[in-house]
Amino acid sequence: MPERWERELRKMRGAEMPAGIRARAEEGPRGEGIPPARQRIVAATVAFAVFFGAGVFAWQALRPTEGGPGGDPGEPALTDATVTFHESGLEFDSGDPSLPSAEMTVDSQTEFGQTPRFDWRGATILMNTAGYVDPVRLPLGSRLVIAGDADAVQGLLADPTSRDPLEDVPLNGEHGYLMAEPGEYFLMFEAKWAADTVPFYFPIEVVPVQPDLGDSDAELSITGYPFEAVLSYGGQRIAAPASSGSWTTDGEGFGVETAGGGRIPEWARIVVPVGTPLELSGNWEDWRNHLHPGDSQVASNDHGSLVFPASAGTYDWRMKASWPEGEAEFTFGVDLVDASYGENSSESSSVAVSPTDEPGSEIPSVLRVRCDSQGIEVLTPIVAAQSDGLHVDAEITDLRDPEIRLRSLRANQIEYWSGSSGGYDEFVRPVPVGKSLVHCESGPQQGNGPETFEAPFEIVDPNGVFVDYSLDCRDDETVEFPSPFDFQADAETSQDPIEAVSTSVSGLLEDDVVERAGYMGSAESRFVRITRQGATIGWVYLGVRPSFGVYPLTGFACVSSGLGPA
Amino acid sequence: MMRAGVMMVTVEEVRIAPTAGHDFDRLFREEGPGIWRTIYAFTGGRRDVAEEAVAEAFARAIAHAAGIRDPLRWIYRVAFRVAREELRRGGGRAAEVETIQAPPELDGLMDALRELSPNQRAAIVLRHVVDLDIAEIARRMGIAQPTVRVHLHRGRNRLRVLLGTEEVD
Repeated sequence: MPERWERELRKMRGAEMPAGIRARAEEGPRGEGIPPARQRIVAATVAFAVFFGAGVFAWQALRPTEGGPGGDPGEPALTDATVTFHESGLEFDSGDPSLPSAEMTVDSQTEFGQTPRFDWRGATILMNTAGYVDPVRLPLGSRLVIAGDADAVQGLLADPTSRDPLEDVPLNGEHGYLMAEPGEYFLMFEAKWAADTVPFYFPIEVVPVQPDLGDSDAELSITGYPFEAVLSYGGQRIAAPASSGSWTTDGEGFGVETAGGGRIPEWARIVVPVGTPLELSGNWEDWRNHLHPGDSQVASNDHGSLVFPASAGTYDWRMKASWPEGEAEFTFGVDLVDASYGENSSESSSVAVSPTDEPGSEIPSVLRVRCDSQGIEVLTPIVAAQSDGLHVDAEITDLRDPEIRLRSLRANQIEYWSGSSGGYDEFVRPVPVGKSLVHCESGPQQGNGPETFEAPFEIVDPNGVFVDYSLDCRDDETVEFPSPFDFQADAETSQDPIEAVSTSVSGLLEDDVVERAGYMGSAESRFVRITRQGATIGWVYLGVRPSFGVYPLTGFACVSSGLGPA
Repeated sequence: MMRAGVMMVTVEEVRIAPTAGHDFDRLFREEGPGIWRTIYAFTGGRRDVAEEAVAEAFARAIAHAAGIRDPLRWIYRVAFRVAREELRRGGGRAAEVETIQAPPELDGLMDALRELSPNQRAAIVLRHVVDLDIAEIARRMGIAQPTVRVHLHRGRNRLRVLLGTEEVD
């Protein structure tokens, strides 16, 4: 039974589109946007109604008109967010006392912290902060730098849509690191001055970072109590709390035991190519490490450099450091990815397979493609099929309206498109096993027409995840099913793919086998093959009509089979 | 479509050949209402912004038809962009100061939707009103599928709280 929110949403299906839109569209593009009406300018003003004791002040701060820290959602890159607290940050021209403030500065843009209600010098301050505020986009692992004149600052993170308790954001004196699952949060700081403690809220969005696998070194910094361990590579940065440890200061010792443990979440893992050198820094006296599972470790190579081992896989990397005053252990989630197939690339160090690869697999299971206005580069020219199809990671830069298109050389009747919008894109398509081509296409480039680049690659099936539907007859002995299989909008639909094909194909013999084929691990597998005495004599690709079922979209058969549309 | 004597079918989406003319009239009739509802929700009920964003997106698509392979997705993305730019330019907090004329039957829903972020609103509407799957929502919004899931999860949870958990037949 639908819940109330679902029922309410259904009402939107009846919302009528205003009649004027069509006429407005036919007027042509205006390009520069909507002329700002007066009320919109007013709306751009952040209005805080401040009630201070018996007096009432009005304070308005004009938001940046565009491009604030929460503005352009471009490719995220690690950054510092400096949060500055001022005891007298809000000045009023009426001669009344000032109020504390907090500002977050990211890439030269500043956002004010919200303070809906707080106590200050014996009075209760209420500020009207209603309305939605664009969250500040902060890449996972961003450094939070605390500045200003507050005596102490505590950081807390809250999911605004849940009632879960606030999570502590460890601040090591003047800084901390933002480690939270990508999503939207309120980042709250409690700033303490002699007069009072004031909470400030910043809406933020934690965004994941796409690793730059062309980076040369990984870096690990470890410092003693208050413990801090930060691992960074290729634009990624993760901070790990001390899972256990001890410390002695002024003759008194204490232990550190962090709750939790267990599996490190996917978002908190760092991707590093195998064999990557590691620069280790910090004030430790000694250290040792271990990659789990297995018995490998980061160790010195022949040249005396520390390097990650050569076995690709998903590891918990445990690092134990010691100081004269104590010791601590930190655990990082590290996905070591294979670089062995990058030798044909012009940037061998940037070649890697996806962290989704099976540990120990020698063949990359993700097709990695780079494409720009100069051409296309396949970083993994031999790729293993996964159970739900071919996994593709595409990086497209410098192209307008780009698309990645995949085509099997053996079953070239079907193309598989990416739906890319540029930048990084990951997708899965049921491209058949065998030799194939990947095309990179773009829209017209500055009036020069579309660009198209292509490169070969091969899909192999070491794990037997693909049920082959290629025909056991020569190409010149095959025939494609004519209408009604060709995009027939009125074709019969069925919930059952086998039934859809059985009722749509004529010439089937009693012992013919009609069965699903292709990638069986895909919930959307839409291929059905027909075999006769062990030989594949036909296959059908099914279209889908939401809510109705599947129907034959296209198909091929051996001429001698006698198969055809019913 | 036909290419070099071979029938070409595209998987995941049936494509019109890049050089073919697009039927914007049909697109407007069949897809316009869905685009409108999505952008209307995305703007938090800012009818004026949504109206202009949808119209501008269609206008730009018609003007650049030759270079667009997938006009529907293109229009969605332009409409999102135009709406987002306009909200940033002047209307980010406008819900509090500008009259919003929601149909009476949508009053409660729009009030609740305004408590969500724009992306949560858009994802919720594309999923539960326009009936798209996660992959298609990601394509039309121009964001990653995991991000769509996060927006949906949080949006639904928030709507449950705001509108109650009462079940109906």
